[in-house]
Amino acid sequence: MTPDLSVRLGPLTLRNPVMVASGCCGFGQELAEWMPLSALGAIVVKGTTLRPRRGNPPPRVWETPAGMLNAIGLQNDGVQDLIEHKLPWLREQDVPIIVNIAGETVGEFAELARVLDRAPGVAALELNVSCPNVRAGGMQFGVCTTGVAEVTSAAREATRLPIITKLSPNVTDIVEMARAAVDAGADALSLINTLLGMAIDPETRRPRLANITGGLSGPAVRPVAVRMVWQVARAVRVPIIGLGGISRAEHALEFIIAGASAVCIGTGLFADPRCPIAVVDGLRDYMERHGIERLGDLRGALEAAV
Amino acid sequence: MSEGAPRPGQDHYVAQVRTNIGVADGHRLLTLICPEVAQTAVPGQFLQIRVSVSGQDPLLRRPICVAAAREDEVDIVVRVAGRGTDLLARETPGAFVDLLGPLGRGFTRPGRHEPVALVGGGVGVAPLHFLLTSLADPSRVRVLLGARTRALLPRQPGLSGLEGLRIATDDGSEGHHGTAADLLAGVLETDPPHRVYACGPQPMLAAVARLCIQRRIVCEVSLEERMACGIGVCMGCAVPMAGGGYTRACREGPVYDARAVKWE
Ligand SMILES: Cc1cc2nc3c(=O)[nH]c(=O)nc-3n(C[C@H](O)[C@H](O)[C@H](O)COP(=O)(O)OP(=O)(O)OC[C@H]3O[C@@H](n4cnc5c(N)ncnc54)[C@H](O)[C@@H]3O)c2cc1C
Ligand SMILES: Cc1cc2nc3c(=O)[nH]c(=O)nc-3n(C[C@H](O)[C@H](O)[C@H](O)COP(=O)(O)O)c2cc1C
Ligand code: FES
Repeated sequence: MTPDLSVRLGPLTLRNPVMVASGCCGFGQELAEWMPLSALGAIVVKGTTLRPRRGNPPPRVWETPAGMLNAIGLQNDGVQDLIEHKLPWLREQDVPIIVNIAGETVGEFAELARVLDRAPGVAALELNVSCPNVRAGGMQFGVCTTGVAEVTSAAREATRLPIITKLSPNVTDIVEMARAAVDAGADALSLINTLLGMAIDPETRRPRLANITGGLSGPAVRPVAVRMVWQVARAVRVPIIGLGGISRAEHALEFIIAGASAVCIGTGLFADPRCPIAVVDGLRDYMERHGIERLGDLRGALEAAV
Repeated sequence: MSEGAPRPGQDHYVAQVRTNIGVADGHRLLTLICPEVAQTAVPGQFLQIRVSVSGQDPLLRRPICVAAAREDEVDIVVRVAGRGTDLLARETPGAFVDLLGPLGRGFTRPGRHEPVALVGGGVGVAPLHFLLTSLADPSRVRVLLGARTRALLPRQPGLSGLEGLRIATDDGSEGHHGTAADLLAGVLETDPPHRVYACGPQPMLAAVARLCIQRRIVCEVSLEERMACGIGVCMGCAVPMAGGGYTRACREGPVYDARAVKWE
């Protein structure tokens, strides 16, 4: 028996469930120096905005127990540069390309979706609703159901591409956010984005990050992410991409058993840029050991008395 | 550099520790057996070294410069600055170290007989030592070293006894009472070199850059920005540029032309 690792993500079929996360693999070129991108289920490129963004001043990263804080500030060269200079190379790499988009207004999300709808080689759009909503005074779209719904439906109307809404964990009720996204037309959900955090240098009384607060990622957030995937998987019918602290097959399996169809590796790439290959191999081993023919059979297979 | 193609020698290696010796208070010189890196590394390039067995905590690798390269081995000088470097400094001969490298852009090689000065602060001497050993005629090079105090001056073999060596300590416990940048100011008055290479703490680099820019002397600095990935994928290591915007210390750096950097 050769285990079948392919998974369906709404209208997309991926050769395996292991993807690389937005903001942790650039636009693929540097990662390709370490592993063939064709070994991945998909690549989710760095958050792309309508216009270029310089990003935040340094320090932008700070290591925390089994994790890290980042405040990159969405540094990117804008969507036109993506289309003209990054997509042509990426299209040659034999990997589905998911573009993560970030707008400051609902209109910007719609415009990004419209522009990318015509760009060859884009397999899907992932909506980063964790960016500040300028109209709502900088409050994130992703922290209220109306914000999530407005962004998702605006993108939905602007493109025929599959829409993946990436949920922020910085909310009281993740299930509510997930329902809002699905009702607004999301084909799939990604969760989780980073947890808002902060660290201080007591000697100088200064924040460790120039931006003061930042997003927590890595192994430290994995239990939160697994719990949220489990809650959401029981509440909605669309496929879920689980992420947060994955760097080994065991971690990916937690998410799949909790109900994820696919997984993303973010911070794990920083410690080991080749870990996606090991995760794919580890999943195959696990399936052989447990006699599982199709990975989909394992999805949501949690044994629990609830 | 062609897109997606690995840079020369750049790979994931597990290197055995050959020796580990003290070179100053809290500074260890480790010799690692890694022929591929020894043969391909350029002075100024660095390695991303794993400091935990699990790779989960501490999670991130630590950027450390190559301090010397011989046939099958490379030297690194580790200053114990916190948990990660403490773990690395304790690695004993025979142990294995997991590393990525060589990474980043190194120093521009000077012309064969071009007069150069190397300005190092503390552990910043490490990449300069590698540069020195790669030069055709090291005896003609001015090496200006600074540290807070005598006990913190890294005694890297190959540096002592050098004719052009000058030392400065903040407390005057050895050499000039002051900084390595002071020494450079003196040299620029009497016998200016064509090129200056510098690595060390930010204030020292800023002072060196200012001196060289004023006198229109070519100056390259190696910057220590905080890093997460070290391989160009996270945008964590932003260095502000004189022309606006940021570049990545791990890709476009860590070595920069002093004029290209925006100094605070
Ligand atoms: C390109 C480059 C080359 C370097 N070369 C050397 C070298 O040859 N020898 C040497 O001893 N040190 C070198 N450093 C500094 C060294 O990487 C840090 O001292 C080390 O990362 C500190 O880790 P820690 O766990 O001991 O300290 P902690 O303070 O506990 O580290 C916490 C976090 O901050 C980061 N960090 C702390 N200080 C620095 C710093 N100065 N620069 C970048 N990140 C930092 C760590 O990587 C870690 O993620 C270099 C740094 C860079 C960027
Ligand atoms: C340095 C860094 C940059 C990130 N940039 C983005 C981004 O541009 N868009 C986005 O949706 N998520 C971004 N993220 C969040 C990750 O994609 C991911 O959701 C989160 O880090 C949790 O997964 P992990 O623990 O595997 O990293 C970023 C994370 C990190 C660490
Ligand atoms: S440290 Fe990640 S891009 Fe430089």
